[in-house]
Amino acid sequence: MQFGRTPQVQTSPSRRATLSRWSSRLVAAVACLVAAQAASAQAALGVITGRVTDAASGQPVAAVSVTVVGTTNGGLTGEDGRYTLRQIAPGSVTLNFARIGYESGKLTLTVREGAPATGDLAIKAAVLSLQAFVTTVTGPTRKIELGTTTAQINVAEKIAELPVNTMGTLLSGRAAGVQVSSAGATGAGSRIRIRGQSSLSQGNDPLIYVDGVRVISNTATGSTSGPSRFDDFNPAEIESIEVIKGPSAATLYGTEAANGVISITTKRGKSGKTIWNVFTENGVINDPNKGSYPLQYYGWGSLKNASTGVFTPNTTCRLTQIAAGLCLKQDSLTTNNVLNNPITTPLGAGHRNNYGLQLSGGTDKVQFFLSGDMQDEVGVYRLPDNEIVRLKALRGVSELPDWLLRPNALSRVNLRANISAQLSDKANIQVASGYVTSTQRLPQNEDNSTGLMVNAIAGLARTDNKQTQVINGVTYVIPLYGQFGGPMGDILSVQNRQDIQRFTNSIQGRWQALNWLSTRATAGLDLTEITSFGGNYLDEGPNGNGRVGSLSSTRAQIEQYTVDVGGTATWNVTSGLQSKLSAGVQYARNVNRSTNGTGNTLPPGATTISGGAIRTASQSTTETITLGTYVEEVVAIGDRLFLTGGIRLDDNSAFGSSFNGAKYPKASVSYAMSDESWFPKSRVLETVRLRSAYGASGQAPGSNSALRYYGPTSFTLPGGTIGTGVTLAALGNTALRPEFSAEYEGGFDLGGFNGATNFELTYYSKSTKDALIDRDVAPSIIGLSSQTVNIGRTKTAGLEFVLNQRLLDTRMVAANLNITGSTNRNKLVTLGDGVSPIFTGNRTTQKNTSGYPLFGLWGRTYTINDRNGDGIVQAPTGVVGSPTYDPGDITISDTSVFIAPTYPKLEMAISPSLELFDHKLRFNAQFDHKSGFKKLNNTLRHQCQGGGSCRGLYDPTASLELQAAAVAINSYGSLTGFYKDGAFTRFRELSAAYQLPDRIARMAHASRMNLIVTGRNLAVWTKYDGVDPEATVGNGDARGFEEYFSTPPLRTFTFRLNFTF
Amino acid sequence: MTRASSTHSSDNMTPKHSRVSPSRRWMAGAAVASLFVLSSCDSAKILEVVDPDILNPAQIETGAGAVPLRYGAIRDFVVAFDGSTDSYATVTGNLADELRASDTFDGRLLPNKRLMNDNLPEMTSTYVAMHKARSSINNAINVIKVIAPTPKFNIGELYLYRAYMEDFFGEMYCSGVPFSAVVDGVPVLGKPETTVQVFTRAAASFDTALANADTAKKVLYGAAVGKARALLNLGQFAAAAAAVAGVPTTFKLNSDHCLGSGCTENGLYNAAMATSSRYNPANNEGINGLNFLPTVPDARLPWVASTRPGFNTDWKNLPIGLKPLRAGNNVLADGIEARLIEAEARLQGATQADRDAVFASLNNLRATALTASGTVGVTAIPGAAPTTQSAAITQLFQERAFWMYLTGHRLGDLRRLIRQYGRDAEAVFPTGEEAPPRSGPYGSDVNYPVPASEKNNPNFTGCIDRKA
Repeated sequence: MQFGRTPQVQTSPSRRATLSRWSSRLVAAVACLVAAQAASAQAALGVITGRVTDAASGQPVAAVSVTVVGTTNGGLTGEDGRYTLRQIAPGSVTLNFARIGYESGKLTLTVREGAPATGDLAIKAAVLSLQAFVTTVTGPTRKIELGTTTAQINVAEKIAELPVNTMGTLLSGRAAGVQVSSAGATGAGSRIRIRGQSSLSQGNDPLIYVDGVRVISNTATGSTSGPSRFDDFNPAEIESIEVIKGPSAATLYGTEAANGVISITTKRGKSGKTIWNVFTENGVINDPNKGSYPLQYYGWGSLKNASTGVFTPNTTCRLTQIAAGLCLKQDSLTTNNVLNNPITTPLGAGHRNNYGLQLSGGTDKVQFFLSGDMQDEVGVYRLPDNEIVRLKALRGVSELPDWLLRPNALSRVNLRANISAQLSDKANIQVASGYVTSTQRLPQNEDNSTGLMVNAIAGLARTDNKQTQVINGVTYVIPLYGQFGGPMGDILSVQNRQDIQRFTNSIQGRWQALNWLSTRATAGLDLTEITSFGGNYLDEGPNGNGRVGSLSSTRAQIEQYTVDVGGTATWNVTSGLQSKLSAGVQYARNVNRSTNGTGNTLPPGATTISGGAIRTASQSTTETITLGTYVEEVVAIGDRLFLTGGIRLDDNSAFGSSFNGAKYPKASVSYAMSDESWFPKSRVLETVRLRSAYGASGQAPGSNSALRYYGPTSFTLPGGTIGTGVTLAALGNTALRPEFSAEYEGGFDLGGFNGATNFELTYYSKSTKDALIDRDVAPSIIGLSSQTVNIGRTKTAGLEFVLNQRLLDTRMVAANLNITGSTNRNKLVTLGDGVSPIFTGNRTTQKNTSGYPLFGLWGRTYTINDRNGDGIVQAPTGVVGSPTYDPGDITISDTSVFIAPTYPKLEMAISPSLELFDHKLRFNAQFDHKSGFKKLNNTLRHQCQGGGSCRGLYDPTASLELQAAAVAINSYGSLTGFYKDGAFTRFRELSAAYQLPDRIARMAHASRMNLIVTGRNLAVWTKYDGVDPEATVGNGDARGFEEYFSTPPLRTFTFRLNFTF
Repeated sequence: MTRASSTHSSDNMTPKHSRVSPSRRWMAGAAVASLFVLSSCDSAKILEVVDPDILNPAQIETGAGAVPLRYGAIRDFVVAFDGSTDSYATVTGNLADELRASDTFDGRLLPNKRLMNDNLPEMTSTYVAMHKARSSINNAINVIKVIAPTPKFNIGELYLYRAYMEDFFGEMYCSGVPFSAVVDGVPVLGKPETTVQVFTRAAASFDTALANADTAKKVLYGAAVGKARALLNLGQFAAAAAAVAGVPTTFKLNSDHCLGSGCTENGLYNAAMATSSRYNPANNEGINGLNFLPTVPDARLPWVASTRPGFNTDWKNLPIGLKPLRAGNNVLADGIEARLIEAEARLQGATQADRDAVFASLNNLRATALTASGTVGVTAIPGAAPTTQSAAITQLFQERAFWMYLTGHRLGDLRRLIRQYGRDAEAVFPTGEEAPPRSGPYGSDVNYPVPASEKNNPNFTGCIDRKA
């Protein structure tokens, strides 16, 4: 066992020197290569202009990337389809045209010094194009050059026509291997996993980049289903998203990129007349389970006190008590669920409004994009009507605050200004600035004893459970039939509000230093300020200590800095051999500062923590810095065989002092086999590309994990005086290094039928060694329960497939079918010598041990034997080991066994689309499927255990399985009966978009007008018997597929009008 | 103007070779140099991070750190003893008949049912906290011996708390608790110790406390009572009585609590007396449990009826008033315990005279000793001294239970009734069917298993045995 070094300066001279040494060697090598390549440079003076149109409609196509092959010189077409390229070397030049959704095009023309050349081109629509450009660390690169698969989502084209308003819903079902799950409440965050889970302790969230700048995306403070900072970004401002799926593709992103990278490019201005886009959207939100939540039960009878032998009438009478002779018979059985009762339910209809304005325009030199977006969404939770009356009377007010009436709401304003400028023929700059301010209200919920759903459905379904209050002479009888704690008005009197101010800024510059050498630099800051406020005032809130008044206020500032400098040298070695050498330096710094104060025991009228008689304060700071350098060489042979090799060297402030930096290698090959002259092209099979890649990346440990340090504490002296104390807070680990994930992927891309059919298949296998695991430490050593160590190996593997089939393409009717899917298996290969299994999940339901999946469900299994055939599962009775002991009707195993993974083995999305009447009327749909996993129905577990209200406890007609689950949990603590098959297929999206006739648009002084109707979460097919197979308690890995008083995905319908001026 | 035709070519890379001008060479060099400067600058400086929230051992383990180290160690002891919901005093009462779990978590429900496994997270946290206290104390002792060797009683005080914690391990856990250590920064893994070895270890630590007590009464008396407790656990009754002979009945060694920032609140109050508490005071639990809450309250347990619910709201109308409030103190050891130890030693004589003497001493305590609520004068035990040894033992242990309610003694006493007085476990622990709102039969556990996380110590594979 290795203990940590002491803190202060978290650097080791020897280690840092090592990084510098490595960097120096790397740069020296790059310098030599660049010098060699410089020999091939040439001058450039020509200009090319042109226009790109759709081959089918003849309409101009905007945002087409036009580049000079063999260089990084290029630009985008404007709304009118026009482009201009400058500083072109005279001679024969080949241009490459690429745009997501279109086949690539090439055009060879001759450029003469001083004489502008024209390059017009008509391109054909296609979904999966190998010639499309994707964003990489080394700059825009054609897909064909990459040995990996990269999913692209053309957000700008789709967003306006889909029921999408968060980043999570935007990504869901759009890319193979990307799984998105989300709690249902308005503003609740999403969990995004790319190619599954491979890290046990460090999280599996991908890195997020926006316009080249790393941004924070973690789930912020709040309830377990708290907001995700990823959802601060407005999908309407995004041009495209690229999903870089694993280490094989994300190597150059370095440490922390092992879970993949999501690279977002926001919209850019396009030269030409200023285009105004205005939209208005209104919608309704409903809980699809409203009125049909599972019932709670209670059985009545006379119960015998085991100690006194006396029967007490009108009390509980469970099936097991009848079988044990403790209850003679059940007098009656009552059922209820307050969620199904329109008077008592806290569920209502929510609504959303969204208004936006976007401007795009500029000249050849300067383009701008401006956007403003305002949305208000009110979730489905509400204060029941009877509680409104009671609380008004109790508090002597005529109105109750909005946050109490509608405790779940999100109000958000997004602003964006992006400016692109051509500073000279050789240099351009892009400044992107986004701002978001939001206010969010989330009720206490999920795994929270004073949470909304817990209190709604966690208690005994007893009809006599009521609370009576006399207010101003009026008696109020508050039914608590099945509720857990107190009246819903008291539960919802606990505020939980979060305010955000966030600036995400980036500046990206490109300088074509030489015709063969392009340089680039990006700098940016993502600055987030979060203010959270929660609690309840005096005599408000749920029954308990909290009614004395308890408030909490937290202010956090999170800074994420990015500096990225690099260059690429290209060298046309021969006519068929091109070399592209890139090198760069990246710096990322994350600083998280927060202060928290609480005030408890408030006087009347106090609304801030300052009013608390008991106050606490705390402060927290964490900082992590990553510094990395990289070099990558791409060799292109005949523009159809691409060989890539590279390495990234990283150091990180969180690494242990005795670790000498991380090295992440990569290599890949991409072979457009169908471009060979010998390839037997046919209509069926027109394009074939083979690809294979290997790459490595990492995950950094926590900012202080390497350190052994003390933490301050206090000591109460006799008489109540406070003394300052210190206590050891962390063991540390001087040898701490990053998790090292190496991934192999291989696959092929096929195209046929004149571009109508495109198919991708990819196999991936990621092995993670030196896994950073918070391992249990024998407590007897030092009394700290865990230490972060590099132990164990994990493996994640699977297949990904994408099929895009253009079914029909005529002027009047066009139909398309897109299918994405993936399989995933993960396994903890080894956990290190002498390391006991690590338990995760609620109630230690997940055992992480060698040879089994991470976060898999384990439990003691049992068999049911209804010995007397009465349909009642008898619980064990009598003293264990005594002659009178009766083991009951279930036989339970002595040890836990593996039951099932919690992460779906298969996910698939089927997205058909239909376009009618010259593409004027468009329908899009999505069906989402996940299977091969089990989830813990912890709500049912609670109702069968502490809550005492599940059907299996009382109803003699309940299935033996449900009765046995109740017996197993209460007699043996086994949760196995609550592990349920979570497979489902959901009708996720449906939208209809209609482009109104021009004459109607003109009546509104618009050039174009669209009417869009959308629906989301419209139906689900599943055998899961809980609230919903996607209802989740939180967004972490351990509990992401657990239902625990969770809200199901909500059903939304929206109506939207888009105007273009 | 030249208008080019569209061609789809598979070979579009035209070689371009030309001379490089000096200015372009310069620019290329500058670009590379920039990269070089960026990548080879002092990365140590760039990666330098200082976290202001954490304290460097080099700053603490100095003369100025002596007091904070001592306070921190004692604070860790208080947290483990009675400063959290699942502190030692609470969870031992839960397994015994002092408390019932009004919770929804197996981690508390199963111990209450005497039906445990070694992987209950809440109980693991108790074990961790107890070792944390022991380890913090050892660390403080080692540092303070060097940086602040005087006054000596400060070191004696730390041995006192360490000894209590060692005794707690013996009373709460199965046979086989290991005691590891860190020596010169290197972990030395302990081997499982039998229950007898644990109590012997505790008694030795109490001796060291006494040797370092100087004239500090807190340490002298506190260690005397503690040593007697350990000796009692070892069945050395006479030696135990001798150890407490000089301890005045009025002596109290408290664990102190407060409210506010950084305070360690009274864990017993929060665990069992507050609204929505995870535990609640038991009464006549499982046939054998004592009648702690008679209709007319005993002055030592002045309970008051309330409508307070438990954490699981199936539990309603739970009593309040048995213990001090959130900021109140709890007793770790006192002179009353000393007198009770003397009484038990006397009872070993097993004659009627001994029983009469013990009966008289118990009533004398009732008449003169200060109760936890600050009153004097508990109604005398009615009738005369028991005429059988068994009845006398039962009476003595009941008196211990009432005087030392929720001070972490009861589980050890029930185990001693089995181990030293030959009683059957099902005659002393809660047994039979759990009373509503819970249901199902009690199990057979009489102690806590060492949590599974200790198996990361290769010397430990499990309890030596689960006997009392």
